[in-house]
Amino acid sequence: MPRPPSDAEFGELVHATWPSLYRTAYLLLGDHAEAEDLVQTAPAKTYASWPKVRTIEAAPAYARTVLVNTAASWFRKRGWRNERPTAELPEGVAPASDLADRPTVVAALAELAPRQRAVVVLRFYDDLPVAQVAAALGCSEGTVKSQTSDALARLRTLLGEAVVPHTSGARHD
Amino acid sequence: MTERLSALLHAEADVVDVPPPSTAAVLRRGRAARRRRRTTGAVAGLVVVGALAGAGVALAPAGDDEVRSVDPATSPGDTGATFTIGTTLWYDDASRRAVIDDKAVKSIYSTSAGVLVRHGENNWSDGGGPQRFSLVTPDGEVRRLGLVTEEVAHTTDPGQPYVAWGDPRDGSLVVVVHDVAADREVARVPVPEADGAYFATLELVGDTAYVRALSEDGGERHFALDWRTGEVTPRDLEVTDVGGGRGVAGPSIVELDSGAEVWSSAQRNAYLDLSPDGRHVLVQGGGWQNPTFTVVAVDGGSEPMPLDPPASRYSWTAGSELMSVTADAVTTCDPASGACEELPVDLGVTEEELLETLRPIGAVFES
Repeated sequence: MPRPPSDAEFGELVHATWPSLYRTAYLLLGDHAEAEDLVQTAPAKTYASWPKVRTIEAAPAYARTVLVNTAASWFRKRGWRNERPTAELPEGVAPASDLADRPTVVAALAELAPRQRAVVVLRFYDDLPVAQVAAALGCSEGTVKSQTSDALARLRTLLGEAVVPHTSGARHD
Repeated sequence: MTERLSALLHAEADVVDVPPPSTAAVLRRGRAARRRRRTTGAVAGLVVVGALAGAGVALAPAGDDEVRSVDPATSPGDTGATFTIGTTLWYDDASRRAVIDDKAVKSIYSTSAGVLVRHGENNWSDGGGPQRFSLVTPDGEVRRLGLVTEEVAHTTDPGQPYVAWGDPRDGSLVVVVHDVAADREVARVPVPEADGAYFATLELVGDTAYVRALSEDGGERHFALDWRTGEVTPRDLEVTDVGGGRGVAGPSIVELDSGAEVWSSAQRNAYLDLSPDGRHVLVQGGGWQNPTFTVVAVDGGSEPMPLDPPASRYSWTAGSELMSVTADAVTTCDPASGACEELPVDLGVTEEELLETLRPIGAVFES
């Protein structure tokens, strides 16, 4: 049985991983309170699962996986089958101060269905390949590709061709 | 390419206000979770705890060896509230259960021959290695099928004994139909119009499969395929969910045959879940963590009916009742009257474990 970390060791781990996990959580959820809840949950589950984690060095990657899996289980709470928002056009999306004619990417993400948002964040922010995104979300690579394709099409509508060129398709392996 | 999108995401994430971490809170939660894991254990025995609320109907003890005749008055394939927790299938309003011999359940489907369980090495929906199948028949038999697939999305029609899927191997889409009662393939239909597709989702309605074919260039094509004759009819309309001769098309419910709109949502960013009989639609709005739920009669005649948020989620049973599950109760609601019945059960899991592992009937975590 691996020795669990001391409170001081675990505190250091939380401090070190917190900003990065928080940013991913915020991009996934689009809400500060929910992001904080999620980013507390991930290291807490990591602590509770220490026999699987085994070493302090392995803990950051484990916590990130737990964070994504936990977010995925929250998405599952409302079901994914028809994850297609009924609205076609964004309304009330706050324009970015630096680019007044388009919303921020974060605001545009909020217009996506949860799993579409997740694939965009994991592929284009965390830079994970399709296979790892599929593993994190528990779906097929085909689904990741189709969700990416749908998400990029919608982001293109929201953000314009300059940000999401039409040729980008679903390739980002 | 996506470099610009990626750069903007990083730039905007860098300026997100990050609150300071609360190490003490994390440790508290971690210790509490570890205590729960020690005390919960893995036993999932059922304890009978009551009767159907309001109806006074006694709940018989569930068991793998219990046999109950099928009620002919119910809809084809209707097993009431039906779901899996781990590898245990709970069906017939959670009064019966069956254990699937595999590592994890991926999803479950209604068929006229019984409940079809898709399972494998993990609970990933359409991915994660081999997809194996077991049929739980109305008499309680768990029949392992010879069918094994991989990386495809399946569909059933509750009124038929078939499971169907689109196999895009080598860039040529083939729709396959398998009889789960006889455990044999009954159709393998090429769809040359969908050449180049890398993934396909289907909705099976009688002899017709509504096909959504996805291409690597981001394009989609939609077809209606008569899987008995092989006739392919291109369609402009994408249908993502079907029931009662109708389907969900974006913000609308349409007639499958004509494409005529019969109902449309005025709510922004809502998600539509059509009942199997096509008479009601569950409209999910609000934020995803605090969603709102309203049942609407597609043909009108009654006011939209708000529902309390479920602990897990709402799903339609094959008989077009709404179902939700918690660790200690299964609730079914009549969408016409709004009357709900809560059936106490002990599923042997915590609420958190329930959310991780619950697979309700009719819910496929794909789109």
